[in-house]
Amino acid sequence: MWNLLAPDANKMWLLLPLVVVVSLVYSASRYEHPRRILHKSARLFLTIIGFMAIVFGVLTFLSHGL
Amino acid sequence: MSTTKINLKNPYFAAFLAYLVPGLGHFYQGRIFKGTLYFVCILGTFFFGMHLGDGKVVYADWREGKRTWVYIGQFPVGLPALPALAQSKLRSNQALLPNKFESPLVGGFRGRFESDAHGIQADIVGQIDLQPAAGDFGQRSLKGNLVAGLLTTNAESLRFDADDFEIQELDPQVAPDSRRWMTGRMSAVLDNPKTGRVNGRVSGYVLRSVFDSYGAPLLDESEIRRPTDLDRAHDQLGGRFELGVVFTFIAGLLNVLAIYDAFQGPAYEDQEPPDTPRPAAQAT
Repeated sequence: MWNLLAPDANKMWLLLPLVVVVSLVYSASRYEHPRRILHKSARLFLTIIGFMAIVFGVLTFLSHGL
Repeated sequence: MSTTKINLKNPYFAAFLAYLVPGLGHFYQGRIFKGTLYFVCILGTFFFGMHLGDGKVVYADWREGKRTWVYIGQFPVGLPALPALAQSKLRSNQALLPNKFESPLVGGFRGRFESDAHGIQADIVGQIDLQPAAGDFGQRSLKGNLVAGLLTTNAESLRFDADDFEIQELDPQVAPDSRRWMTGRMSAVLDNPKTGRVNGRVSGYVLRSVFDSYGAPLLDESEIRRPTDLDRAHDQLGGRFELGVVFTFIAGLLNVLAIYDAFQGPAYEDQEPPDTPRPAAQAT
């Protein structure tokens, strides 16, 4: 599993800046004030990454031994 | 929707500016933080995607069977995506096809000269000045002058000053690559009195201007060239091609949110007043 996360081996790491950008822009379109935008975008970032980490874990578990 | 606290000025004009350049509409409205955020995030995502895809992932083609549906998602990013539409609509078909020899070709050249018969290989750099002319078997060609200097060679000495450079294959004038590749034949002079002039094969490129490369469509006509330019881009870039498409596509979609924000204001601000602490839960 850890081989999949090696930075030079997996383009999945490009997900991180993409999720940062999506979180910031989405939150900016919902709220006006900088502190609130940053706060909400941090929460959204953690929500998306957490959800995708769970999906990653489930798929890794299901593909174990294949 | 909130329109009461924020002065949106002329929302139609702000939305138009936000479409042209992400964040510009917000700068016009005096919303500097959000303008900067949209500008950096959306354009950063778009150009990072272009970088991943080597500048080949944003182009428009609306012919039946060749439609680039993904361009609909890239289009809202504004000015950075508009040249693709211009390249598709304003360029003549001749400019988009390979081996069209109707226009002169002049510019700096860099490439390689090889002569199998004499076992010569040389990396060369110089200037070409080629004009349309009748080629072998009655076909059109580009012929003319290549004056080049040697970078490296396995021959003792070699001079390129003949007027017999003839192009055999030539990339289109407009294509999403900064290099316009060509192959042809010409002769060079060896300072060996027994050998004298040697004929060889030349392959190399001249640089394309940004007007001929940015947003240019990838050729995907297998009856014209196989593998097609699209096939070669996939071979060359692998998964980076798709990633470039995804990044530029998402940048376009994100700018839809920014345009709407410039037009209408933020979605929830009325429901949650800014930066005011929530009242503590009352004890019962």
